[in-house]
Amino acid sequence: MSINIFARNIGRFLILVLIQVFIFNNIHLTSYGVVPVVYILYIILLPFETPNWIVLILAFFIGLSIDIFSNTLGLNAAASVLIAFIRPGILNYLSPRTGYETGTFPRVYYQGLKWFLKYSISLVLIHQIGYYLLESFGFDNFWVLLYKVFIASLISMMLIVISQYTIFRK
Amino acid sequence: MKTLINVIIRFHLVIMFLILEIISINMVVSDDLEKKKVVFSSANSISGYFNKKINTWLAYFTLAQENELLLKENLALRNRLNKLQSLSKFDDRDSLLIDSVKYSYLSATVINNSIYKAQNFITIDKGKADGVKIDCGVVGPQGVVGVVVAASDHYALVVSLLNSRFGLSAKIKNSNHFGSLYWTKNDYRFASLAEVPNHVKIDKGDSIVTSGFSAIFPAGIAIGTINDYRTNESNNFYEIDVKLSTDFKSLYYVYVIDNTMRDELLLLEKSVDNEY
Repeated sequence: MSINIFARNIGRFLILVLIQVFIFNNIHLTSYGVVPVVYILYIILLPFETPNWIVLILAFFIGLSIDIFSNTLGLNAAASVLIAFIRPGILNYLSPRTGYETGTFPRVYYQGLKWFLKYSISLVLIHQIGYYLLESFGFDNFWVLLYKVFIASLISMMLIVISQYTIFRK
Repeated sequence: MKTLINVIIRFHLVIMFLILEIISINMVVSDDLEKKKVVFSSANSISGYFNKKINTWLAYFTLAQENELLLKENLALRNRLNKLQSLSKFDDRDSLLIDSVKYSYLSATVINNSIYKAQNFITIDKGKADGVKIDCGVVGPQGVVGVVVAASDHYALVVSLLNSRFGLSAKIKNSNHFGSLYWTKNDYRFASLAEVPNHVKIDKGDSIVTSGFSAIFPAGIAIGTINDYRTNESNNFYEIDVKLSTDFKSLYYVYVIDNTMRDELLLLEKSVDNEY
């Protein structure tokens, strides 16, 4: 069981990096060219039982992989580590009174759409805010930054939710 | 000691988070063009391989447009050739000859390009094995594109003109006054030209070309035209907005320019630097 999950997560790591870098990085939305970020799914979908320090390290490496391919050394890594650090807090805040049942995963199928939306929107938003703040070092126009974060998060969320009904149904 | 270990165990997550963040942010801040490592860029062989595969597909959509651009460039070059041929009948111009010998050209295609980030880079499908070197200039059919900052065996990473860490020596074609060109506006169509003094007569629509001082580009390659300018009261220099002639959004074919006498030039300049 656990080896199976291990292998599946490595496969997911590679596939998400490839999809992000070679497909979604070529999609530029609005005149600011914001890119939908789908690789966050990796951090979102990690099992509840994953030790928090492993989540941090995995987030760092998936962010770094994206960075290497898109010439933004450190940007995605920093944003991913940030959400990996915040993830346990959000999971804790959203957890049902009895805790998460064993054998369930953070997906729509197990936790319901409402729970999943709350959980993933907060992660995606924090990731995008961190990313664009660090990219511009705060020099960007505030409203432009807000606009970029909003559009990027909206499209990314749509893709992430669609993935829940197509690829990660169970 | 025991308390220290206890503290580390208790706060191991925060400590790890801080360490990883510091590593990442340090990478962002210290990402110098001079120290760019090809392994950590889109010019590494895995990325190059996939990008090339994808690009051969995507290229079909812009083929007609690309052909038209190349045709226009051919036309311009033919006209220039005609002019030069008629010139050389009257006088023997050595400088032209030397200029053409000094630079060697190499064609390449763009396989990865970004225009919307704060730091934009381009990957091309020629590398060390084809003779691309670091600090080679890259131009497109319409004008200057960038400079090679790292090269693997078969791919090279080019810092685009659209990169706030990259500056270029440029001059106004009519008056030969030079200044530095920077990308400041976060708009892929415009750049700014600084350090042109106030007393120079300039006009909207004037051509901006490379100055040839940098030993990277030959003199006179198109960069863009003056779109707008303001006089700065505080320092007697113009602030010039330049409309770039290269359309970075649809960049496909480029030429890599190698200055074969670059080493000699740099050596000479360095020896002078040491003495004075």
